[in-house]
Amino acid sequence: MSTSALPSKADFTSPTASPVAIWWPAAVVVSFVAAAWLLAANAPLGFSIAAVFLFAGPHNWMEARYMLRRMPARWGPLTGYFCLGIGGTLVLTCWQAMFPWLGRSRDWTHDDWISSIALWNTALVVWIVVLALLRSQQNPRRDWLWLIPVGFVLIGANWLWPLGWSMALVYLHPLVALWFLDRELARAKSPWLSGYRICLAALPLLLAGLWWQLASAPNLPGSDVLSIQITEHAGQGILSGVSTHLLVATHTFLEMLHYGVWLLAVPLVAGMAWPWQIHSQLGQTPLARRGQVWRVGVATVLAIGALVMIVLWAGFAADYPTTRNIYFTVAMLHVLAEVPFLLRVL
Amino acid sequence: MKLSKLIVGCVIAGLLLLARDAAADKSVAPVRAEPAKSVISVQVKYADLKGEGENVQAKIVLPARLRDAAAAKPGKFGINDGVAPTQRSLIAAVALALAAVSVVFVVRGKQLSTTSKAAVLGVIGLLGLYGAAHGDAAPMPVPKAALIVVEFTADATDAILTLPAK
Repeated sequence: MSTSALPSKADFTSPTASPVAIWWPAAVVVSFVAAAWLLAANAPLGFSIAAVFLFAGPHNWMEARYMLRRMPARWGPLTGYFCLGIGGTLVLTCWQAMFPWLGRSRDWTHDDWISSIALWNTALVVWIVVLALLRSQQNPRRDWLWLIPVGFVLIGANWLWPLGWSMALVYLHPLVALWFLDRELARAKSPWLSGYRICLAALPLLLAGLWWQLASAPNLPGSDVLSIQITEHAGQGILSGVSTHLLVATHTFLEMLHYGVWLLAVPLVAGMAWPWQIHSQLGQTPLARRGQVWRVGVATVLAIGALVMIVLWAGFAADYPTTRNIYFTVAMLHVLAEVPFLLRVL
Repeated sequence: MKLSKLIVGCVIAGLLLLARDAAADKSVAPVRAEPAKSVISVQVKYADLKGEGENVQAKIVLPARLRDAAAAKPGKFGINDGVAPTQRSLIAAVALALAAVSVVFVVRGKQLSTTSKAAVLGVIGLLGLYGAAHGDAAPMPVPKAALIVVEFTADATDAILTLPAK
């Protein structure tokens, strides 16, 4: 699959163009979103378990491929930007992964935990703002100085409500995928862009419908490790007075949209090669075109990614709760890695 | 095929070992253990407490050994000597103040209409008022609450609870 396979604007304006080209994506999107909404509302725990099992690994692999595609072969003046982006991603991920060990070894109290989380959140905001300011100096240049006061406001809010702030990240992360898709549609000058934005406008309505239906729902049953993991991940213990059914349903619905975007929409719109088309994948990766060593390196990274995906499936099959714990610890890597690439396409 | 299964098995085993320390989803705030209890008998007395001060509703006399035992216990129960919530509030206040200052610098060079400038100032003013109303840096007026006097004495062996005379 290549970008030339995408429909151009002319295809849709010419009298011979088939209207199916407009309607089949709409039908797919409506079916997908409706199914995700219904499953999330009616079987949130089961749907969450199945969705993470099936799509967590593949969507990370697809994201890695997308990011490799968007990374220039030679960084040149972008060296500082990419070093800060990749370095910050690694440092923040390792820092967060060390929290349980630090907490135990230093006998952290509740306040110590809260302050550590607030400190990590502060580092995250500083990293994003600095990256954005670096990006604003690149073409196309942007006037993003207003991000400085916004960053300070976010840091202030974080120190007032550190756990709430972290919870906001959990719910905002799936929406970043929708932003990537918007940018990809705009980049491809796709005629689907306006329709997509109409769908985006419907998202608050879908969430409002979910909340209206589940506002007074009883908490989800189940006191097993997995149920507790899933409900705590969705905010139980941080958001009091809210039904865990509502929390898990909302989070699972957004996660499923996120998976759909990375596994279906972005590969289609960006014209990414099919997973088994190894040569096409390498041909679409600028770094792989730099030389034989780089080609082998990129191929190795992609192969390791595919292997990790398979190992993740095996791990989920063997011990789902433990593998889920490991996955969401390591998954911070992809959450953070999205930042420099999103800033590049804005 | 056997080699690949062996590799996958080793990787899974390694991940399971690592998982003992992984806790992304676990509650970030560990539940603290309850402190040890000291149980002593209590004598209840009724007496005039006016001499103890205004709003004093009761007086408890405890054996001094309880205070000594409590003071000897290490640990981090009670007031935390790390970053207290008030200190976090102060960091938040500094960040919000920097936000307000940086807004001025950002807006200064812009060709904004008077309405836009007024809107920015209005938002800052509202945030400032909200912060002043909800901030905990300044001491808040405390309503007069019922008080209990606690005394430690080496003479007592039991706890003595004194209530106002009926």
